[in-house]
Amino acid sequence: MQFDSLTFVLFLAATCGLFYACRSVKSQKVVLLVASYLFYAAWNPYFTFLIVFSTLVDWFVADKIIHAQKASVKRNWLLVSLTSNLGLLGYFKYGGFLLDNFVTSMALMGIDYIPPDINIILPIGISFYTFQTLSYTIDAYRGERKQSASLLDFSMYVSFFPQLVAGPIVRAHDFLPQCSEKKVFNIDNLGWGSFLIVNGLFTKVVLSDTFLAPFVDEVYEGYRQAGTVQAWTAIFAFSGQIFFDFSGYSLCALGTAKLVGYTLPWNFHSPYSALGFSDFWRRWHISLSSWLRDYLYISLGGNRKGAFRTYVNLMITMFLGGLWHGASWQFVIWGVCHGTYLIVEHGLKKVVRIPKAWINQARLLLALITFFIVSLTWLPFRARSMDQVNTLLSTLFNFKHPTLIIYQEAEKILYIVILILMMFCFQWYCHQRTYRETITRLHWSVKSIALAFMLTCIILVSKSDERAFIYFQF
Amino acid sequence: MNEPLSTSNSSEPASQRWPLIITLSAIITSLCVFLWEGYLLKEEPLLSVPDSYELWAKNRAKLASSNQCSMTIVGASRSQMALDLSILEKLGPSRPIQLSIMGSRILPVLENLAMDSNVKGTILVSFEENNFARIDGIGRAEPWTQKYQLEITEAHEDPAYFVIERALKSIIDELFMFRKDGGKPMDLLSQTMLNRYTYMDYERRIFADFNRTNAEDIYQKRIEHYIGQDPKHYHDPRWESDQLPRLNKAIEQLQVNGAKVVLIRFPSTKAIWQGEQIKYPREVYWDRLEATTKAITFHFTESPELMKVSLPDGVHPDFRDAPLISQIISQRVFSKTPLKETIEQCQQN
Repeated sequence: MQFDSLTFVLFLAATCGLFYACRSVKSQKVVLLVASYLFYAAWNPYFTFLIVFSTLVDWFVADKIIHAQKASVKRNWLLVSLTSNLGLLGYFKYGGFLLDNFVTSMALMGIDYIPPDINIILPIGISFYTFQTLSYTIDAYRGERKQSASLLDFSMYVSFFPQLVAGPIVRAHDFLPQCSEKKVFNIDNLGWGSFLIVNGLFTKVVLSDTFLAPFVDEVYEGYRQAGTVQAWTAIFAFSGQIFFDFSGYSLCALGTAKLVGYTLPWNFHSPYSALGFSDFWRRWHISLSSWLRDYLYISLGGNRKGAFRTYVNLMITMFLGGLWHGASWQFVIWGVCHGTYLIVEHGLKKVVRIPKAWINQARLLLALITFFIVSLTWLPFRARSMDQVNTLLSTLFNFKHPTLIIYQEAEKILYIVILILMMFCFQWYCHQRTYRETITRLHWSVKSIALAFMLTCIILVSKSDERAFIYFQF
Repeated sequence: MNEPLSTSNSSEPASQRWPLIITLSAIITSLCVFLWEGYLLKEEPLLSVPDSYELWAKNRAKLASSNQCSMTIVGASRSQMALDLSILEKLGPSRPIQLSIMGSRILPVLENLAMDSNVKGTILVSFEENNFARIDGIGRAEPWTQKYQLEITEAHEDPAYFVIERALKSIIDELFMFRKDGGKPMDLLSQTMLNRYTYMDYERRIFADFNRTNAEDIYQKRIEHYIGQDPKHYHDPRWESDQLPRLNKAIEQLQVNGAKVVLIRFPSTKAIWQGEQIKYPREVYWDRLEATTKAITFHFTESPELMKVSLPDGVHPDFRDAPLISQIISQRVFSKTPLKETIEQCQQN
């Protein structure tokens, strides 16, 4: 079920109605759990069993780890969890990819291997809920969780519908304490939640889907004929598209959770105003980057084992972070690029010192350079083949005249440029302010007009064709 | 490590005045939407129907009860813009069913029709070489035909969510004018200021009004598209080994099922045709097809009148010229055996 569907509006209204009609905290949680499973089953009912399986395994394993006395027993139970979670993820997400690469390797060795025809369907949101369940078990293994959560609370933590399919990836210590109190209807939650949902839908269906996505699609589809200007426009348009799409989803998730009284972690903080790549990863998809930092980078040794190992750890983390997004070499390239940027940045920080007098100008320049490189690096992320990556990359720098016909091209390029500039300026303005601070400071009349403007645009400006959130595929 | 991430806080200050904000914004939004709807109802601007799988499938489903007098069009933008359904109805066996899909391949549609023994009557197929020579971009034909096939053959049922969503959308679409393609403020702005020039009706015919746009500019780009690139990018060797045999097989199956297939090469301007000859040589595509197919064929170069028709962007006619093109094509095609007898019988009935 998509947040931008009419069905979701009815579903949410019914869920909220039932939720607040409940007399006990337990029945409220049961309502949310059933609603979450229904929400997930709307796509494919059979995959709901997969979430239930994952939930039961990790709840049971974490309970065993918490109560085990010996370190070796804890480690064995952790292995069970890792095998089960990563096994499922590996099969559903990387099965086809591994098989293709195996066939290619065999062919290189002169062996003509014809694999069985397997059609693996990726269960939506599996990468997100797997990371949530894993973090719970790893926390238990590290001794950071002293007590088991109840099965009901843990099931709700894994399948909570606002963030089930595309995050934010919530940590148990952020979520589970919120399950203990009965939620009472609160007009501020309704107002703030609705504002977040409307803002999220506005960025998704108006800014991303209506203004940016069609141009990006046209250029990537006709990449052989695209010219240099078209290619550069598509690069920056996709930069905007993916931000508006994903941050739009996150806003909707936060808003929906807020309607039922829950608070989810913030997932974006003006990422395109980042001053360098470490800063970018503190601002982009925060819940994933902090997960990778806490459970992968630190587990590998982080920066505690010297400069060389730090660089290796950074590269491994970003390589796997890239692969987390999908089973293709383009995602690997994207991850490796970011790993390289982080390593270079670490190295440069040790040798380059900016004079204080230049600090303000340097900050803006640094943000612009970061934005430029991050945007360019989205190319392999968006591309569907290596041919597309190579062709578009060469088009960007060879001043090629276009033979791709895009109707009303000049106008489209103009509004994309305006939109991207506005996005950058707004993020630069919000560089040190949180979204919540920015909105809270507004006068109530401005908030009303902003809300009305966004709602009107959603109704009157957005296209009627449905476009799934980009991160649903991960 | 365990410090909570930056979170939105539920303890909003009381001064936020959310009840007032929500009420006011709801009033402003309703006012804007209903004012716009009122404007559309009063001014009645020309609105285009959005093309969709549902609309295409509705037309496709009509073929379940087709007979010898039915007529179907399969193709892409050329057949959607050049064929006037009323002229074809007047000169042919019946009013045609438009199954062309803009920017898409014809093979998936033909194969889908061939699988259905109910499909009968005359099938006019627009043959474009780049439909088979183009490696990248498959368009919507494949997903639409696959979805249709799933729906009818495997008793496939969409999850309840999709059914509910479609029902809700159709209620809203019927209620409001602004839900039509072109009914949104941006569409009308684009129509008036940015020279939008194509409209589609419920029968899926596309009307191109080139007076509304800079056709010269589009034409120039099309010329560059055909002449300015390395031809080797455009030849897909699968044409001989895979596409042509599949096309012929689908046509033969359709004929076994009782349909008559006509392959039509729609006109291009002289300059475009020269470019097309560089990229997709006639002897490799059309001549080879004509030599092997069992379908009736018609190439626009057979008609001196068609070689002179006005095509502002090089391949598509203005809607005012579509009747003339439809008439010329109908006269040429419908006079060929065995179509002639069928049409006479159908017109008598």
